Amino acid sequence: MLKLGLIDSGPTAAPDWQAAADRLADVTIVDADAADAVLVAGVDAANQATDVGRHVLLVPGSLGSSGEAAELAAPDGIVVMLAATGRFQPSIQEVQAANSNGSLGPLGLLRIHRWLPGGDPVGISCLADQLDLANWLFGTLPSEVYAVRRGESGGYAHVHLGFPGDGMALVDVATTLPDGDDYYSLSLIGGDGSVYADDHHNMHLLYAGGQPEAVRGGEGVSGLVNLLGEFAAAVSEGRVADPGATAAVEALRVAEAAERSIEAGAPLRLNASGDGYELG
Amino acid sequence: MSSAENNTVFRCAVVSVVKHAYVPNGVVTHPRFDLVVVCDDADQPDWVHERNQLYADEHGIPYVKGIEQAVADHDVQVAVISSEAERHCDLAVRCAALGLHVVQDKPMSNRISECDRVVAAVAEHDVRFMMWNRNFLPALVEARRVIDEGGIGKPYAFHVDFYFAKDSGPARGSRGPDDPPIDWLERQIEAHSDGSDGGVGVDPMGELKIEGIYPLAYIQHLAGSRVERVYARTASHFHQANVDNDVEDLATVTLEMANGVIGTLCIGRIGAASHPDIGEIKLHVLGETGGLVISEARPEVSVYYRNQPSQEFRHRRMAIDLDFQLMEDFAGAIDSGGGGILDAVTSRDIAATVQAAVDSGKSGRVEEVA
Repeated sequence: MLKLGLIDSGPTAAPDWQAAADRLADVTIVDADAADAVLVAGVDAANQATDVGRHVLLVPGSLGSSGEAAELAAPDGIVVMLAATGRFQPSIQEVQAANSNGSLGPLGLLRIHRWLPGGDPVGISCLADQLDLANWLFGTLPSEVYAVRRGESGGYAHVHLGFPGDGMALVDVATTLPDGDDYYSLSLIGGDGSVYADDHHNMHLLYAGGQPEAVRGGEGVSGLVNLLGEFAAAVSEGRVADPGATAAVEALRVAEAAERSIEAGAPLRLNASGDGYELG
Repeated sequence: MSSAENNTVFRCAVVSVVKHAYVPNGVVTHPRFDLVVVCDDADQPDWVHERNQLYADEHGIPYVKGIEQAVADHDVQVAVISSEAERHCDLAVRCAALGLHVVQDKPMSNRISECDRVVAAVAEHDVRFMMWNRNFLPALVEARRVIDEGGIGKPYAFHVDFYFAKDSGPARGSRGPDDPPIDWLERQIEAHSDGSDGGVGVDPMGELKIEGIYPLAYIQHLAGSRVERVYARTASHFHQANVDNDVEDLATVTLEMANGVIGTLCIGRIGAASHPDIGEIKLHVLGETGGLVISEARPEVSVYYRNQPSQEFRHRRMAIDLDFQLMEDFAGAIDSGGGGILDAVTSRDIAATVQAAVDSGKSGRVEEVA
């Protein structure tokens, strides 16, 4: 039984983590003092936890840069996993299942729309959450990165990626929606088939006068259940969890390249050693 | 004034009709337009004459080998051009010089210099020009209404997915080591039977040139701004004909417009297996106070039954008033001397955007739109 303490539950409410754990026989939520694994935010908190032998689930968006992510310590026998909720959503799991079993053929095009309320600037960590999905689905880092930003507060960013071979991706993140629900859409086009995971397809209708209101058929806590299942399995099997620190570093590296592209107004290319991006 | 209040009926010449005939067929949905003759240059190859003759026979109108003669003999006011792509503009220029208003099939041309000739000719001879487009599909009309009514505030980003889930000859990688490359024109002529011959012509064209005007016209129509900078990725990902002729069947494009608005486009001929219908065609629009997600196919009705042919669409578009509205708009342009829904200048700008995207796909750089 994995005893998980919620030191910082991040953007996901603690009751949702509890509800997810309730659905798993091998995970339970406990006070942090009694935990052998913790959910934390930021590299310092993560390293403090691993120092005392605790496994770590790291809140997505809590790493400020690829350099910071590279400082994540993962001593032997300790699991450090990025709580990348996107990868574990049932819809995205279906997408990756079709991709990884070869049904789609060679990947050609990924499109992601991630629209949120709130008005915050779209920062590197916010972009990295979606860029991690692109890296994961294509199974490699993009070779080209071009990006643009709009909005007075920087509440919109669009990233255009090229992958080795002829793959390509468009990812846009907006925080300019009014208060209310967010919107998510991911489509993946391969040489032999395609997958569409789109909130637009999953809307119910509420008639209460005037135009009907769309009510999203949500995915509940299934994504958290999947995530905790992978974390618990990695701990139990003594293996590296996926996504781990490497995936976090890579996603942030692409997000940083996007920021540099926005400043330069030009695309960046993966360097020869494959560990950074350069203009030109 | 609605064009219906003007009872002038325009006599139309179908000036080459070698592709699927949706353009002339669309023109005559409007009661003010009448097809009176099919014509083409006498020196065209036999397959062109055969298709022109077939269309003329189907519509009970004469086929004349000689465009100027046909116009002179049949009191024509409008030319409806649906030839091979590389002939589009030259035919349009010649018809404009004869004083004809022009309705032209896509693409405007595969060369910007040819588009420039049309812009000049239309201005010089004071005739109206319309590129065929889909801006009056019900979903686009609805999108325009929502935006115009301020439903999402000032729009700042337009995203269009424009996929055609059709096969286009042998799949990529299917050519044997001793097989010759696929000849583009032969492939397009062969494709006429299933209606996938949108790229008919001698010069190979990728999906950006064949279909790009539709989604780019959506963005132009809704954003009302000219594209200035383009970054694109292109690939020949699906079809051997595209590989052999070095033209893309899949592309992503980032568009930066004059008013600071962003646009993006995903476009591809992605194979019949990729979608149960013609393809996922969607618009995502972000404004300062909201967002809008539009399915271009809707409204539609679903039809399923035992032994349904695999090629038959399960989801069928309906209540499509596109053809009439396009021609209503064109009649209005003729009556008023105005520009209309997609005039020569705007069409030329879209063709230049397409060319910049093709160039960017090859150069890997951001390209300025000429």
